[in-house]
Amino acid sequence: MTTGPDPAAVPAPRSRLWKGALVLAMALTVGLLGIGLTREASRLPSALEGRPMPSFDLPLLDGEGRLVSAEAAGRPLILNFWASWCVTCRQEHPELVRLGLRARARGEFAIAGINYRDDAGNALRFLAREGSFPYASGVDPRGRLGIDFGVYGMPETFFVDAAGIVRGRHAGPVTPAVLAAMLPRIGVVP
Amino acid sequence: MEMPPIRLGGVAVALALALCLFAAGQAVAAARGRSTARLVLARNAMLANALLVTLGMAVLVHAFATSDFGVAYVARNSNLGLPPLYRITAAWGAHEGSLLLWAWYLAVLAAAAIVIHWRDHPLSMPWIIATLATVEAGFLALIVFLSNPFATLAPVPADGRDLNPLLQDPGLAFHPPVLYLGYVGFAVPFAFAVAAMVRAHVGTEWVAAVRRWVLFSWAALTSGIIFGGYWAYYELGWGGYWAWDPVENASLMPWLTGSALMHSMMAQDRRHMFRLWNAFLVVATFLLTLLGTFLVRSGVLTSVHAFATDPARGGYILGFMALAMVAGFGLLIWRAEALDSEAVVESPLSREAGILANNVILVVAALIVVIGTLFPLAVEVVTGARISVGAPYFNRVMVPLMLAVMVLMALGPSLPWRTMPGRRLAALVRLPGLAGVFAAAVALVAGVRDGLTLAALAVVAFAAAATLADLGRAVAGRRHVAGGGWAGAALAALGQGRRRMGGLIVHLGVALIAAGMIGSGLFQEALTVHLRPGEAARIHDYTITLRGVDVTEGPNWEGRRARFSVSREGEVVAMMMPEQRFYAIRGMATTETAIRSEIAGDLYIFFGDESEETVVAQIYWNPLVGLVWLGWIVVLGGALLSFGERERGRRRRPAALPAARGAPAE
Repeated sequence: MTTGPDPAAVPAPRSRLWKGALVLAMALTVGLLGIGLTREASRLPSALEGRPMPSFDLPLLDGEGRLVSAEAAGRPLILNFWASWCVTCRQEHPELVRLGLRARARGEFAIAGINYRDDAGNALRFLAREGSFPYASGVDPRGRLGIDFGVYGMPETFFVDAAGIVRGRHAGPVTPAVLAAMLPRIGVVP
Repeated sequence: MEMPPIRLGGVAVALALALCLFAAGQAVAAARGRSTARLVLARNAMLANALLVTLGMAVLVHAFATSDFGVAYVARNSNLGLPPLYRITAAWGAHEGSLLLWAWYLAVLAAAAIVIHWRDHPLSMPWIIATLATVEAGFLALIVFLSNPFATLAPVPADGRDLNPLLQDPGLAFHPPVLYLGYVGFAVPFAFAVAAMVRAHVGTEWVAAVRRWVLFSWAALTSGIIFGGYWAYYELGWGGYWAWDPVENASLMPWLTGSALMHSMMAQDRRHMFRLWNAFLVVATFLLTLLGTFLVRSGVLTSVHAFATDPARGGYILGFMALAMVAGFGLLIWRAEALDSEAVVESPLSREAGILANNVILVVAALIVVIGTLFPLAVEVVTGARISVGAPYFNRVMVPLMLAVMVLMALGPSLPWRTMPGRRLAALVRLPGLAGVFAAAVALVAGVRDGLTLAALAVVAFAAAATLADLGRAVAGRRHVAGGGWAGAALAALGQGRRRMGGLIVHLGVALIAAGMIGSGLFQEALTVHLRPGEAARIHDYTITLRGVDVTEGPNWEGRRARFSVSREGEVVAMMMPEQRFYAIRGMATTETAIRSEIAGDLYIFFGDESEETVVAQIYWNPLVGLVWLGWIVVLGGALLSFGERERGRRRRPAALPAARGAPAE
């Protein structure tokens, strides 16, 4: 190997700092991706669990009227936060449509959507493309209700029992397995 | 011995892998023993490698062209009904073939780099070859052991399972191949940087040598991203081009650091500054291209682009990336003191200060994209939740950053090196500043109230005016010196200062692209209509009438086609026919939007549901989209002009080069 100027000068503290940061960033990235390769999807507890659901009164995404939390009182409620910009929301869409059709047919529980930090035009285009939900969606364009619920990513779904107490929260796409675990908590047969 | 042609491909690629390992070994031995014979051997091995991988690629394309379903990969991704063009492009339509395309690019570019720089960089050459050979070996090993596109099927199926319908589109013929060219091109600067770091070589020659490679890769990456945007625009039916999908982000990250690199290299070339920083940017850009590969192919993130996933492949690419990271950043840490620059930024009003600011913003933007892309994974690992970080986050953070970059883009080329008086800056800013204020005022009068949009319009007008003024000054200066007409002066200015003029033209193209993106977002008109045959809808100044719905079919699909007549002021100007297609073999439906492009904008019709005589259609008027494509062509033209600049190193070598502190000058 050819020799250049001696690189082994005394490193300045500033240089030690960025070198340390670089090594740390490398280790973190590789570690994260490595764990990511082997991980399994699972559920997320919520600070809201066991507490009353925050109340809301939102305009509807399509048409007149409002989505009011009090109207669900006395029945279990499934509340799904979604957005047109969320890729994962496309995955769970058919499952939600099935769930909505069941709610409409049997009326044993209520289900509603919250269109989160979205543009109404984009949201309607998303529904036109993926198929409309058989239930109403309220709009939360600035994410205010999302703050009340502690939402930090899309999609998230909250399961509220007939007494209005939040019994479960699921972050990520709703799947039959998720429903099998969550629905009994709010007194609904999966 | 008779060998079936497909076997030939497998053998060629396996042999190419062996040759790469051999070349890497010989190159390192050549560097240690200063052996020219070994270096020549390593070079020849890499040239042979290029031939062998080319043969492998040709065999695969041939298998697709002849629908050889005895090859498992062909059977999975092609079909007798597939139109001829897609029968070729299907070769890189899935994981195995696209990896082979990647390895083929790298083999050819590595051979080209070795031949081009063979004479000028004799002392760095062993390390350049060793790096390129190792990277190529890494990809070839993945192909040979984990993603073999040449694997055969025992009972040969009568027909194939068809190409993913979303990829049956002319856009696919260009998007991935051009994008990969950009990714792979950054391996050459990486090899030069590794060589410079291993040798603790402090000179500027490697930067001068890789300038064109960086420019080439950047132009290819830019084109690939724009083709991808266009593909999303008209095939995926989003009505938009950028969804901040992890895989789209994967191509944006190296683009951002590559853009930073192109500018900071200038400072090293002219003022011997940012040496360590440039090495960092080259390594980071290359690693980000590997990160992109990993994200697309490991299935670690949820994405509309995700390839079929396989944990072994993900693990392999991650290991490969970790190795490249440790080697690249390890070298950087090891050689940091040797590479540190002696020059410092003397004044905040100088080209180098502008470049520094540009670099900081672009790298911060890249970091934001990296973090935004990996954040859902981090959340999932820590808490087990699956989330998407969506467009709101990215738009909110990225738009202001990109506007700041555009301000620098407008001012930077006018700033001299070292320092300038503040008065001159004020004089430079006056005219473009007026243009910016004027644009914002017009928008305000037109009813735009959003602060960020107004700022964006002002900045784009400012940048365009400043760049045009710079170009005008260069032409006027040339005319002042040489006399003659404006046209002659313009040609002379373009020919003489290719690098500077090319840069300015690229900037102008970027301003045009930004104007197109803002304009199409701002003035877009969208309608969702329910129409019966004979009914009409109005958008912009068009009347769009549904004439009927037909059954239509293609070689491997059947579908429904809506016929719309488009009329303006009572006269029919066009028929537009969006389709819904169903590809029976894959059981997938796609939508083919109908687009009518004019200078003023695109009319875009998307055919949705159908029920009892009623058709649901979405109609968009997307104004100014043409500016994006025009800007792209301007960017390419500018990059090409800059590419034509003669290398500074060649002209002044060798006498003018300082023998940098005992290091042998090349």
